[in-house]
Amino acid sequence: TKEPQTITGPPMSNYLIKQDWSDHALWWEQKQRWLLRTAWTLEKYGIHADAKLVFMPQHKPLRLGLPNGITLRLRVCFSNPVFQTVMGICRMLNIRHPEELSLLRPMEEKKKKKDKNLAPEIYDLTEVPLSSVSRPCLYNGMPAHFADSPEMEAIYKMLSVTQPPPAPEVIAKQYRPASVVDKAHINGRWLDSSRCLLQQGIQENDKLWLRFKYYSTYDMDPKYDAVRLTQLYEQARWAILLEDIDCTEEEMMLFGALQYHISKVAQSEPQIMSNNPAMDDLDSALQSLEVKMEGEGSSASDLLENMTAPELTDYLKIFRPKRLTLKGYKQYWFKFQDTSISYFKSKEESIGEPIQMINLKGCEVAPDVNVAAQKFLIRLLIPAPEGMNEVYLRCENEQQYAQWMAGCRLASKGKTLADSSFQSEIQSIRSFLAMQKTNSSSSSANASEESINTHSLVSPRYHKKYKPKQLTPRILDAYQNVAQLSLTDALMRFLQIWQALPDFGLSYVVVRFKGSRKDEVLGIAPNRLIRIDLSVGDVVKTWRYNNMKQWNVNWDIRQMAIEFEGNVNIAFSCVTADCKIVHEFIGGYIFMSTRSREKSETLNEELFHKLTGGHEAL
Amino acid sequence: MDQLSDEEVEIREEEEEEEEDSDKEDQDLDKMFGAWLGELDKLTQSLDDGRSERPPQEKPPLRQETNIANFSYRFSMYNINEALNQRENVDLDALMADLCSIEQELSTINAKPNSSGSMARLGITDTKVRTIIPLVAGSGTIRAPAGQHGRPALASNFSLDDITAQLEKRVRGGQLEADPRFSELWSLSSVSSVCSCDSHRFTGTLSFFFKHSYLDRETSLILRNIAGKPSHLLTKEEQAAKLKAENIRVALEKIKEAQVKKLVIRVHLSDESSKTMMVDERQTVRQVLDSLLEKSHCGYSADWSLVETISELQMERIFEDHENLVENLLNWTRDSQNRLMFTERIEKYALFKNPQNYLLGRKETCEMAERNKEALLEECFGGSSVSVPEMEGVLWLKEDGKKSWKKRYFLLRASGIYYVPKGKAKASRDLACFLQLDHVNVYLGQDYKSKYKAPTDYCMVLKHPQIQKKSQYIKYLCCDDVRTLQQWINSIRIAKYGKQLYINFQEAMRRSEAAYDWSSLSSSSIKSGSSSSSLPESQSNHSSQSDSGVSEMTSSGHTRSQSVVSSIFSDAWRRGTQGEVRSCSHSVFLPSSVCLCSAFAHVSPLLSYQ
Repeated sequence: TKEPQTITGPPMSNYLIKQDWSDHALWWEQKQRWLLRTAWTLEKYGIHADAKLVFMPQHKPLRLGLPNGITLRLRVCFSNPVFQTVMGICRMLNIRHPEELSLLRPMEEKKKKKDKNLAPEIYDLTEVPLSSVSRPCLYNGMPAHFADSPEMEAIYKMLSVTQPPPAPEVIAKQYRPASVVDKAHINGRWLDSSRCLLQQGIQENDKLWLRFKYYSTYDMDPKYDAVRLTQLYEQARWAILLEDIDCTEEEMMLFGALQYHISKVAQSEPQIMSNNPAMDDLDSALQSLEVKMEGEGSSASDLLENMTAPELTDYLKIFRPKRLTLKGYKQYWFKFQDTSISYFKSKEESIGEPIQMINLKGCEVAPDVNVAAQKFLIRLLIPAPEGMNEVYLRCENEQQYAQWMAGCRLASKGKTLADSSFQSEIQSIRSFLAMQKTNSSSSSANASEESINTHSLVSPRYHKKYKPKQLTPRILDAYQNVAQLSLTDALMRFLQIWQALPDFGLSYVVVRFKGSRKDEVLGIAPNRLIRIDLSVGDVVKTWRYNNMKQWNVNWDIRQMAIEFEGNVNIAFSCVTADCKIVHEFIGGYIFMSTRSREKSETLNEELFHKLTGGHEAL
Repeated sequence: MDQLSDEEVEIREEEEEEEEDSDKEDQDLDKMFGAWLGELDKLTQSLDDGRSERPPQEKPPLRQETNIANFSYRFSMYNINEALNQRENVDLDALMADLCSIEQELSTINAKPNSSGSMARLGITDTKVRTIIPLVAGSGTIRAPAGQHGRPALASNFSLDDITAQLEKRVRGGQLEADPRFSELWSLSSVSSVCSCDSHRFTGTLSFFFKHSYLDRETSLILRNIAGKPSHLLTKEEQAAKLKAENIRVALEKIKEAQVKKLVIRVHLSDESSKTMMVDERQTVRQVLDSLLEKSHCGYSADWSLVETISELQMERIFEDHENLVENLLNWTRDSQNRLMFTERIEKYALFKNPQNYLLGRKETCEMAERNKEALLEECFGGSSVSVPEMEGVLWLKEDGKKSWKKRYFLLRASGIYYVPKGKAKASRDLACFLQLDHVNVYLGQDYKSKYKAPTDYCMVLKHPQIQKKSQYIKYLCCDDVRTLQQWINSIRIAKYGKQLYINFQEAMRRSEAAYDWSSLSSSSIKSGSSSSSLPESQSNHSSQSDSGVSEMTSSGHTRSQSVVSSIFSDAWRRGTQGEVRSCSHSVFLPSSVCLCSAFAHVSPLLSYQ
């Protein structure tokens, strides 16, 4: 025995935990079984003298990959069903509704040699005492165990704040499923919720992914769901970037714009943990009243100057593409007032009648900008009874463009320059222009925070299709409509658009239908099953859970049979995933739909196991 | 080039109209706004303190007229003229009642003490009222023909009584027809402007004033600093600043109230008659419908609709209940022949009455039990995001400027309408965007077979609401049958309005039920179920185990469902273990009477029957 003589030993708390045997239990290796019922006799368990039992802790460290790409090391339960293990993890990470998540075996990492020095940093949470996790109480908006030290706080921030856009190379390097079959293979990796980690061959320090498995988000409240919302967003973002889910080019640009906006807002506004609604009200009231006064001097004349509506006047060039003239751009003195622009021959004549006055209310505004070429065009599509009038305004420089563009954007929404968002609108336009500038300037890796490569915001398909500076105006175009969103609103909008995609929520499995000779794909969605022809990719048939009467699993021949109303029976065997996984998906979705509108925090675990468990569960 | 000059003239007209409004002075008006001026006065004092005051004359006249100009220009006078020419009874009584109430409003404002000094200092001038009152008064000489407006001679202090009295006299006496110019001028918009422009104009200037100058620099700085500070920690100074801000906010709200425009509209009924009524610019279509229903004493049904018909383009659209009516009507041109119809349209809410025909993407119509319908609707509209029905298929697209139609494969997504480009597959990433739905509405085309040589008469049109004449920006699509057409139109509505549509429907149903309750009370008839028509049917269809309606299902608790579930499962298990050949088979039974749909409704806990 060794006396603890030196002071360099482990801290006292550590020492004590090591002495604490309460977490230990017996594992019967041969039968792959924990002996957790301490009241049972060995005989009752059927253990004979030759059995080898291992005495070990039930909680062991596990490397856990999160949807946002961060890897945590934390102690999880190896003895309870995975469903409970996930509950424990979620409690520790402050994620509500753990039933929507599950654990996934990661992809094999192939390029081990190259990436050795790039091994991702692992954030350690193993020191968190398990007892403290059981009762989540919040300090400063985060669970108590995260408020202990600055390091822990930093980890929590990483969980609850979105990550900056990944470098294009990182996206390109990631595994991308190329076909429905590839996607189907991923679903074969889900762990069985009714059995424990050890039973599924997971060892201490192994790596698993924590992912949202059921695409049925329930009761999302940004106030309480900082981590949950962030991680769901990250999972959605990666699904888009890696083309796990298909979308159109327009949608991709909007997703790109939202990502840009989210990363920008997340960087600039450190999250306020405690949201006081009363304060918010006051803030917004004050904000709407607040005066935006420019200029240093506050002399009376300046003040009176400011009393007039903010006016925007300048020489701009105008062009009307629809007119059958060869004149091209013509310069006039322009005046922005309320929601209209009027133009005059010259500044001197601006006291008189304008040549024309255009009301921009309800018009469409599109940018056409190329910083490198010093092209700053505002395209206006102005509705009129006769149709849409196209008008281009050409600005000389960035500053001018940002102001007029901001004015046009506000006017199109019926707001005047007096609106409080005018300045922020100008700012967001300028920052976006700055982004284009850094992109086009050179390849010098200028890692300033402002510069985001637009390739970081779209899937690799568009890396090939467009250069970054070609993408910028397209993303900018979409960005206009989201630039004023708050961080939370932007996150929610991203999720909404993602959820509105036709293929959203589909988990694929390759199956062989009874009586069929070829493999087909079964898509499992939150409300229906679809049958997809593998060769054509078309949906052949849809069955809704609404009409489902019962389903059977034959564990011997690994076949599932489902009966729908109207005497519709289908049966299939699963090819790329175990039938337990398919069974769990269907039962899981039915469980998700039983969660009532009345927000109750208690999770009906028993029901979940009944709907998803195998025959052992009953 | 001709076009250009035309346009210039038009715009100059508008400008001139503004000019004549803007540079006149009227002291009387000050009276109207006394209520706010007291407050303003205090505020400006703090502003002016210690600073040299600039004479008010130097300030350029403030103009905020664009909206009013558009307002009076855009709205169709055709309908009113038509009404007048028909020598119909224009429902003057109702109109009078409305006008009287407005007069009352105005007179209360007038009664308030005035402080004209501050008004002048602020440079608030308002002449709109005077320019329009004479127009309404009807002296045809006041207004010169378009293009060369003279300054109207100013008659002072017209009261609304005088105006309305004259109006009435003239309309009844048939003098209107004698003076065509007048009949044009007697537009609903000018009447409404009388009522609204004064306050509106005032607001324009005033609210702008508030936004920019009511707070001196220090106050605003203080406000910025104290934002987010609990109130008990504030210094006296800060509290004063806060109080000031609060006062101003109240004042602004009052002003917003006073800014309301009113508009006289003519609504056509299906029996060729018409009604004239006044609407508030804030009113939604639902509110207008309600007041129409109240006035017309027709049986309440959710199907009553306000339909916009654009005769020139042969298309129509049912206004959605949440839309703002005035905003939509302002899109009409001045001489528009458009009509606003008040009729019953079953297609308005057919989507919600038989959702299975619209939401499931099926080709054939079918029946569905009521409770399944509700479940389906909840599934579609109850979640955080609305799933747009998967509409896709071949449609005919009219080529720009031609009367020829081409087939294309179209798909609807939440983000817009797409088509499959030639030689491409249906993969999302290859789709070409045909239209995004933010700026367009979907209309029903009428009789396009003869008008545009369409393949069928089942046509829909997508256009910006402001477009009123033929244009390349109008897109025409033609379907093979009426079913497809209705599916597309409704799916586009879902994509465009989302959950709002369902909320509208629920609101309409609530009202029709309330109306039913009233009528059943008054006639002391027994409530047989027309108000809750959905429930009894579903009960009879699913009489097996429960005779409780859906409502009871929703009310039953979570705990109960749990035990029920376990019993089902033990049942299922027994069945599985009993006679079955399979040795280890696990079944999950969902008896038909339960219909899982109830589980999917997200409202009622699963399996809460029995």
